[in-house]
Amino acid sequence: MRSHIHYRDYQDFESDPLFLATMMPDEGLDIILGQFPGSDVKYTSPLQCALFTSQTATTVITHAQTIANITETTYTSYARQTLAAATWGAAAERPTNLGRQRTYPQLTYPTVGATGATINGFYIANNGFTVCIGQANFDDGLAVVLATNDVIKVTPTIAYLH
Amino acid sequence: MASKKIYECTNASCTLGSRKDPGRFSGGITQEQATAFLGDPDAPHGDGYCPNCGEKGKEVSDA
Repeated sequence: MRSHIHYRDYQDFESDPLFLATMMPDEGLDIILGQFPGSDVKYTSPLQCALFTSQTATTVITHAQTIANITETTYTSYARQTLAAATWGAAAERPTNLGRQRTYPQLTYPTVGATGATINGFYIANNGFTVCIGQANFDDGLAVVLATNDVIKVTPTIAYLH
Repeated sequence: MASKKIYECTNASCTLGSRKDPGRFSGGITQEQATAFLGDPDAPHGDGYCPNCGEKGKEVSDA
């Protein structure tokens, strides 16, 4: 038997809404979190956690931008801190029931020397610092103005949503 | 950032970085900071001395 596929002359695929339900449950997200950032078999550990002065205290790069669009701070004595795969905390709920997350122990950056900076947030990059994995403002949406002798501490979290 | 020397603080009780992983810094502690931290105006300071605790850091090449 022969069959024919009939096409409509015009079909606006892009504006058609999708009505399918999806769910990545806790147990599935925990597997993904176990691979990244949990397993250094899957990527080169440690990752790098850097501070940025570009964008604003409440904005970050767009999805199509890259690490090249982010300006890293250069305050005196600043250096990126590292995130070792084995150090991330256990997977836990992202409140409230948004997904699952793993949190890294609080990082302390070097005490600011002669020249400070205004920090709009932090970003996590791959080991070679060639790819931005994620960029975030601080959770209070405020820039941190660093002056001489100030110390900034950051607690990074990676979350996957259901 | 490319030409900047990066050091790792190997002082286990220094809070730089996280508790389990040694923190990194560039530059070093100033003489004023070293005097304040260590109480010794002749304490070593400058490039390679941790700005957080004043201990000598270890240079790392991968930064």
